[in-house]
Amino acid sequence: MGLLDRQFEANVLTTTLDAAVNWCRKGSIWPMTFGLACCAIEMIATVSARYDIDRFGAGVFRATPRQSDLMIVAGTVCRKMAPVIRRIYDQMPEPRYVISMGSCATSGNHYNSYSVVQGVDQIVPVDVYIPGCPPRPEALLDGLIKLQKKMMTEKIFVK
Amino acid sequence: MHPLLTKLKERFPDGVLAVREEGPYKDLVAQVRASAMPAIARFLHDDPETAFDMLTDICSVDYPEDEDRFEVVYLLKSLSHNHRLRLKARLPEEDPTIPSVTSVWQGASFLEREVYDLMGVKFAGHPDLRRILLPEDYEEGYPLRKDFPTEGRGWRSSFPFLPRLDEPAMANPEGEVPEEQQRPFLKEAEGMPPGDKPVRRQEELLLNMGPQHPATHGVLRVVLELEGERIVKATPDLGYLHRGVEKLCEGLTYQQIIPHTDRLDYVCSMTNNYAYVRAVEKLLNITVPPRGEYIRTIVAEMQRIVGHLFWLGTQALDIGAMTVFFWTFREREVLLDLFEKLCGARLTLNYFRIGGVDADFTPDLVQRLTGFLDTFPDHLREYDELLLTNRIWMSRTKNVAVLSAQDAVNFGATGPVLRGSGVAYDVRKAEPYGAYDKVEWEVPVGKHGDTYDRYWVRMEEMRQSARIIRQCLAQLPEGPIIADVPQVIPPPKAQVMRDMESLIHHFIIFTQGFKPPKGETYCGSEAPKGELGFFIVSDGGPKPYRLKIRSPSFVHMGAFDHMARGYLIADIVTIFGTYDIVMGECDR
Amino acid sequence: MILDAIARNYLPILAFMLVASAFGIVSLLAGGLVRPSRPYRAKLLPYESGAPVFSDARTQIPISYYIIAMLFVIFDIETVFLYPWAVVFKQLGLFGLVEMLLFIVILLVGYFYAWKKGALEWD
Repeated sequence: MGLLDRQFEANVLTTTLDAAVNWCRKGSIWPMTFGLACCAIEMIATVSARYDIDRFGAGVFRATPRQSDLMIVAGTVCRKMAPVIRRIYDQMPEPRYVISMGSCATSGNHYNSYSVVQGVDQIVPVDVYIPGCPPRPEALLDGLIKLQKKMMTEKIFVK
Repeated sequence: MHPLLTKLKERFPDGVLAVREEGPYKDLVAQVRASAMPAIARFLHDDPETAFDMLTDICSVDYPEDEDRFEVVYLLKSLSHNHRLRLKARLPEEDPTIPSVTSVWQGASFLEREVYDLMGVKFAGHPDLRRILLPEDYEEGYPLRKDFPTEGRGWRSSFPFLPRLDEPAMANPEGEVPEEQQRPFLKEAEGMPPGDKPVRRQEELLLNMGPQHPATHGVLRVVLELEGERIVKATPDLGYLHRGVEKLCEGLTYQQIIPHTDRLDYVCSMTNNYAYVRAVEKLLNITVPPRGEYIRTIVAEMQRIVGHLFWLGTQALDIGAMTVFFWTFREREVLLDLFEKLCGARLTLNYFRIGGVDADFTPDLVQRLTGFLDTFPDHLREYDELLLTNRIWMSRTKNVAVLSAQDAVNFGATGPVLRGSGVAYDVRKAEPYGAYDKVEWEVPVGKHGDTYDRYWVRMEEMRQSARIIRQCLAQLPEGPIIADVPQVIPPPKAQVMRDMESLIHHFIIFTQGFKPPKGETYCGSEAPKGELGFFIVSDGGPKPYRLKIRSPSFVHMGAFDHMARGYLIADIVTIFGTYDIVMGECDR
Repeated sequence: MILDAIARNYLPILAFMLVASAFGIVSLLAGGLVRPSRPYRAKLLPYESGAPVFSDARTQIPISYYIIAMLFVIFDIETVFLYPWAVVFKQLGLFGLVEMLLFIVILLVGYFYAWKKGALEWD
């Protein structure tokens, strides 16, 4: 499959189609529950009633990578967990995105130790980094909005 | 000399090398010979006058300069007589082996595995001595030894598990785990010598649950051996959030460690701060002024409410009652707003300081807190209306994960897990601290030791917390919030800018760090999850020589397999919730 | 005329089936043409919460699952039979009621047998 994937020259029809499909995709991102540490608590707070991530379309948290678009790595990436993260990323179907939430996932934070990977971008490609320890729910929503802006620039039909 | 110590010395004249009472709080310490450890343990457990029925912790310290390099420290607690004892045994470097005490206290199983994993001390007679917090195939050594660098040894340059993207797309149908590695997870292999092959029935399935799973609170992996829906054996696999905090803390000053303690039990982070600063204050023998004590108690109880609300929300969500999840998080947000007003952060708060707290209560905060307390009992009644006599809730939680009182004490369980089984042990009542002995409150105790009783205990604890906060607010005295010990506690900034002596103290504290006296201390506090304790060994320098964190979640995981056998898969999710494990403090 | 009656009764059903299948086929086709397809070995591994897979899932399944499934199917089909009877219930009158009650009683005997034999317990 994927016969129409990136096959056409850029003209007004294909770019509009691109924008339409991107708009559909960004309005219904399905994240995967990947809370590792403290940032997971703020992610749960973002899902609850006050900060409601569902109004951005991203409220359907799937437990399995096979049905999700977005992996929010929330928390410290430890050495024993790193292969698991990579495998779960591999098992997500494309198009897939990764948000690195919190300072531990971005760079290891103040854990410069023998068992903390200094940033999840050492093992998976990251689209949006959200600093903070933990980032407020509003910061996570800001990161999600930035990811949505990034998704609008994706090319689907255009070569 | 304490009669306990004399009795011990008389009973084991050559097993016990020395006894003493240490420090200003008169901790009972006995130096013992490693080979005599099982006999001494059995005596201390069985004898009615000593009755040390709970093993609080097993710690190991590395003294590379000494002839006997490793020291294994056993912290014991007697619930009936309410005293503690510290046993220390020294081991040489060439053959650091000590007999295991798992036959006396079953909770020693995981604790000894951790000592083996991080320090390399072997325990003879342990049923399953493998690494627990680090990967099974970790070959770089034993991290807590003093000759092991904190950053590890050259592992950050390559990650062998990154896949190739050009491999042909063909899935591997067989399993990836070879037979020998499956042995620890099989019930049939228990007690078998290593050469035999365990006989597995055809219908039994070995299944992973976690580490990425919506219901395991955090990154916990449990390998389930299933027969249909029945669990034959459930082996927890820890270490997916092992951040090396204990090793990191050996390179930080005492004040710099406080933010690290926040991230241990990240649901209620100030209680970790409280437990830690209490241990340091015990080491330094500092008294906190009364207003500081009351503020600490109020904040600790607010954190207990926050922690239990989070527990209730997630356990109800796991069982299927989603409404309770949204309601408890609504309550939680009110309290998190109060914390933000108090110290600037919502979750990882770093509010406690050695000798007191960071900022004072404002009248607005007190007013909002009183407003919250006025509406809180109604909210608790709402949750009760939904859950307490709900037939579905009762059939899913009654007689699930039953833990008898004797087993709970033997495994070292504390907190609501222990109180749900009928044992009325609460550190706040047994060894009072803060303002807990100045206010009236009760300890709720369950009866049957099942999930329903633990749920009921935690709901009652929330009510008692509200009661404590109300009384503390009424009794709140005026005064300073932090002790006045300039050598240890930085003087207030206004004074530092004017007074030369304060400037010098400030400078020395923040550049070198204060130097507590040489010694060791253990201090346990009642966190919402259980007894959280810090064992600090100080060598007189500005950084701790060894910091061991006694985390209740880690000890409770030791009892997980025992508690989960024979139930259905649907009950496993309930069992996770009732234990209320937080992986941050379990793995450290 | 008969054709007319047939058309009036059954043409809507045909249209309904065509629209439903068209909806399904078009969505799947459109998605399949638009989305990228980049499989590699690690993507096709079985998912077991990220940890290494212990065994292939094609093992021998315990018999209890089969028994529960069988019981479900039987009583589900019983319910399915109740629906058309409920639609023409008025026209069948007393005769229909008694016949349906007999049907249910026969299946109830089987239900009690299964209950007493312990087929509803898990082990």
